[in-house]
Formats: sequence, structure tokens, C-alpha cells
Amino acid sequence: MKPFDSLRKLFGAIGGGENRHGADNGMISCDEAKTRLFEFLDGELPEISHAEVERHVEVCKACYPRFQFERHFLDALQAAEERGTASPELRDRILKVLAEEGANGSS
Amino acid sequence: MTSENEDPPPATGGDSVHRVSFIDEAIPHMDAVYRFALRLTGTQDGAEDLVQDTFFRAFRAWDQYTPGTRCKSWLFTICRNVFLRQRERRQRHDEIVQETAKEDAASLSREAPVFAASKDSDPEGDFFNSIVDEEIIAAIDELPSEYKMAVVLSDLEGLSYNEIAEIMEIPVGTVKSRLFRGRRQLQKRLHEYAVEMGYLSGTAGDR
Ligand SMILES: [Zn+2]
Repeated sequence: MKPFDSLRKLFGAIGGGENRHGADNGMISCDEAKTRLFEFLDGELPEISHAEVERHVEVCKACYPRFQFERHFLDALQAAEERGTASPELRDRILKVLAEEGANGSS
Repeated sequence: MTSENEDPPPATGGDSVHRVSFIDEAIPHMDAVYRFALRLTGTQDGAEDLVQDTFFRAFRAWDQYTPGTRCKSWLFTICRNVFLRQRERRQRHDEIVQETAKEDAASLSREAPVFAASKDSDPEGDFFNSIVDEEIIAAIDELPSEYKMAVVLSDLEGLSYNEIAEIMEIPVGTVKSRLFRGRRQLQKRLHEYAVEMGYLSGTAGDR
């Protein structure tokens, strides 16, 4: 556990606009948060780094809409593709050939 | 990857065992492979051929598959390879993606032109949810194929950067930059569409 976590939280929550003095109050800067934006949303950041971005976005009025924007974009992509399925005919055709290949293989 | 009960690998138990394990592990991913193939080929017929080739090839190579690794990723790798070979054979040359090595993904994610253009009328990008699925898919299909592949694998199929890097045979850093550029291009297209459809006020006209 980091000793100043609660202090950081307190100071972090005060931040309103662009946060350029990240190091002063223990928060990462807006630039740092944006740099990790997609990796954050993609779940690719190591735990500590992820938590830093999360904490920044929760309290930063400048970054919050930007993150929401990217999140809504990614959600829309994911929702768009859910229906595509292989036709039953294709599935049957493949299974039939597999059955034949299996039977004709070595024995 | 956690190895809980480490059963010894089954002694090669003949073809039927071989086939059963393939059917249990690989066949359930057919829809995902089909969707991927559909994005790569752009047509239903092309996708069906590609899926069929992918599964036949996978079946023949099944003893090279490492149990416990992600079967879906493995199938996507085969699918991509088969697709590239088919495309080569047809001599159809796709756009070549120009990559400037210096531009890294981190610097790319700092700028967001579409966000800047729409933030006054729609600060959180709600307009993305108003766009019909067909239009989103059409916009994805318009992407250069290397961007498209990264976007499909990540944003539609939910694979990790590492898995995509393996499938596309590129470094993770390149996955990130292709992904981010593909996303930016996609946002631009969807934003234009949203303005055309009146989901957004036409603030984009000033460029
Ligand atoms: Zn910020």
C-alpha cells in the first residue's frame, strides 16, 4: 500500500480543469492519461497504471468526456457485430467432410 | 493459463478421438471465424469458402495445436494465412499501409479530431449509438485491410494485443498503432455519416 493514497485522493478530487501539474498532487497529468487512453479501455494496462488512469478520469472534468467518447465508440463497434453466424449449411458441409476425413485417415 | 489438473496428454488414440476433440474445441468458434472471414473477403460466398478452407486446414494440423492455448486465436491465424495466400494467388493488390515508424500509438491517442469536432454538440459521443449496425460494418469494410484486421480482431472479437500480434505476425507496438489509426479513420467516417443523417449538427463543415 502506498502511504499517501488517501491524501492523493483528496487532492485529486479538487482538480477541475486540465491538470498539468500532475506530480504535485499525486495524480497523473491529462497528457499521461490520454496517452494510455486506449490501452486503459482495452484492459491492457498493468494494474497500477490502470488504477492511475481510472482515478484521473473519475475526477478530471477535462478528460472524462473524452474517455466516454471513446468508450461509446468502442461499445458501438462491439454491438454492431453480434449477429453474424455461419449458416447451418456451411456447418453441415464442414462436419460432413471432417467425418469423412476422419474415417478415411490412417487405421 | 492455469494448469489445474495436469492430466497427461492422451496417447494418440486414433482418428475418432482426434476428430472428437477437434469438434469439441474448434467447431464452436465457427461463427467467430465466419465473421472474421466475412470482414476479410467482403462477400458471403468468399467468407464461406475461406471458413471451409480454414477448418479443413486446421483439422489436418490439429496435432500441432497446443491444448490450453486459445483455440480461437489459432483458428484466426490459419484463417488469415489462408486468406493472404488466396489473395496472392488472385494477384489482387490491396492498398499498402504506409507506416511511419516514429509515430507511436501513445502520441496517436493524445489527439482526437472527431472528438474535437463534435464535443460542443455531443460531448460524450452518444451519436455513435444512433448509427445503425450496417453502417458501422460498412465503415469497417472501407478500412485498409491491415487496419481492418486489427480493428476486427480487437473491437469485434475481443482479442488481446498479444494475440493480435501473433495472428498478424507484427510487434505489439505495431498492433497498437494500426488499431488506433484504424479507429480514428473509422470515427471520421462515422462522424461524417452522423452529420449527414442529422444525428449531429453539421459543425464538421468548417474543415
Ligand atoms: Zn485530465
